Amino acid sequence: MNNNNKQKVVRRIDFETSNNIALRVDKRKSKRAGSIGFKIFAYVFLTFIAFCQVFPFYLKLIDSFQAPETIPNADILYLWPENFTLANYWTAMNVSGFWMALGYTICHTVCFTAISLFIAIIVAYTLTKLEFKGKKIVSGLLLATMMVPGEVLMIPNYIIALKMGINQNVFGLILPGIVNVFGIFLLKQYMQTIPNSVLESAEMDGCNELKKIFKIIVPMSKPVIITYVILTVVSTWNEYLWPLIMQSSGSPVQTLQLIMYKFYPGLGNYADGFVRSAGMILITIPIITVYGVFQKYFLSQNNIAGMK
Amino acid sequence: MEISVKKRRIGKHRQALKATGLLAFPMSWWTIWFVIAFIAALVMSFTNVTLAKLANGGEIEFTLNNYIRMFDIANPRFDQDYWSAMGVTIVWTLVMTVGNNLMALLCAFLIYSIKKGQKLFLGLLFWPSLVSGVVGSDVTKMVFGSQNSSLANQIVMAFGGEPIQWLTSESYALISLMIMPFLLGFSTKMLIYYSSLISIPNTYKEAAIMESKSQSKVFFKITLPLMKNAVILNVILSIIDGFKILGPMQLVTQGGYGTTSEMLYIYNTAFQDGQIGRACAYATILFLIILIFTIIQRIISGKEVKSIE
Repeated sequence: MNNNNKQKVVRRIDFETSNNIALRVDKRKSKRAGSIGFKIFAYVFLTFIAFCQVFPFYLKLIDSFQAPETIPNADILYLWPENFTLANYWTAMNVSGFWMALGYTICHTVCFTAISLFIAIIVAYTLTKLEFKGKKIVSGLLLATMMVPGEVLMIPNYIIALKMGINQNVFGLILPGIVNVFGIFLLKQYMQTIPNSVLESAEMDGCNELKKIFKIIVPMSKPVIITYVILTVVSTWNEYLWPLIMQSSGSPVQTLQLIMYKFYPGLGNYADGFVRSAGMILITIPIITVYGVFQKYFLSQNNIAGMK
Repeated sequence: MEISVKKRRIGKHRQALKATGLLAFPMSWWTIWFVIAFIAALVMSFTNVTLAKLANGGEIEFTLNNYIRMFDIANPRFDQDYWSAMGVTIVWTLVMTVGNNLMALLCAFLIYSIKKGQKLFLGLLFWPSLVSGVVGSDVTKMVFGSQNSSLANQIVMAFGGEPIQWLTSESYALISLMIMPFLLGFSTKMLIYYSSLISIPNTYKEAAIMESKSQSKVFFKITLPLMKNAVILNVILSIIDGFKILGPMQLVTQGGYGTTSEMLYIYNTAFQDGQIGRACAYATILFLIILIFTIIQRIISGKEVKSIE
């Protein structure tokens, strides 16, 4: 019990930058009677907002449980399905190339995350731990690209992808963004805190650069790497604009977001809508799972620093 | 001594070689997709290039027409649609910047002031930012459905109003697109405010409380001024995001009923009409607008980093 408490305190300090003593003093102060009304208001308001956020998705979930032959009453908001069934999930998985799209999406997400992480590690390492002329210029140039929103480059990138001939396969989704400047600076910020002496002693032992990177730097930057991976996995999984553009050039590559966006198989009655809801829930489940498992990384200081 | 200096010099030379080797591929790839692309966008904005001309090798001329059409009101081909898209974007940006930031600040402060369940509420309020645009827009479509049973109409009817055709009327379409992002889109900003709040030393507030100042006075006179940097940063991030808005317009209303945003107009001009040159000119103007705000943001977050150090 005591041990558990201690752990909580430690985690808390980890999470908050304020110092421990101040926190304790503050706790005592807040026991004053005057703030009880305010506290109740805080809990009620926060719960209300959380409820407002969840409720539309709950309605979507209910919609996905409706039996396919249900004809919903146009005057009633269903808070519980009329005839509960999971059949829509089965249907959603077996129409219009769901499995193919799943394969493409997983390939896109995994390859993009892995390659961009690899490149980000190497570039961040070079820019923090190696001495060479023009280092500042390279950093400055990379930083300057963060000022150009990706949306502005969407048209020329489309043409480049066409000219390279990668628009007809999944490489068209993966390759354009693999030099991820955001990732490079996220990792760079963290690697700057790793002392150089560690690397010097490794050099004495005769390690080459790649060994230094993967045996020393990578294990030491684990938290920031995990943060980068989950952020990238989520954003790649959710991406729809670039795949849509690639598709407009005649690419056969379907992603889950794309097939769900254009999901009108014509199953009759209201079944399309129910199956569509089921599909929307299906493609959100992985994201929510990742969030459930890695929540503390989403809420970590690394992530917050990255947002700036 | 001499040897070590020599060694270090050799070491430096070797490091430069290694750095070149490690950076060669990433930097050249980056040059293709960022530098060349950026220059290409600028150059294309001064031409009459179209998708068809690119595919079939038609004649491409340099012209200022793309910009003239945007800014010359007297021109018979003056681009009215561009400016109405700009108007929609500015309205969206204003509403979202004010709405999201007030919401984020309020929630961050409330979470900060409760002592139990801080992490629970942070977690509960953060997940909506992870929902994809496609799913979010599908939920928007359902909530703002035109039939009586949709959630929005149920609420309106509960207050005694008439059901509204939300997404298919000029006066309500944009509002109904705004409500879901207003409710769901503030979570990252909330996190920034929260981290700024917990970094304020409590001694400041204690001093104020000892002088028997009220809670609200402490907040407005002490806490908020100390959070100035976070507020400015969040506001600018919201403005940048606002100008880039595309998802809800494209996925929910397809730009109909007065909801075409700047980015959607660029997208449609390029990929539906095939007018790449014109789209690049629009994109260049958008880039300049965003650039101004990004530079302000860089200066501020640079200052903040310094103040932490």
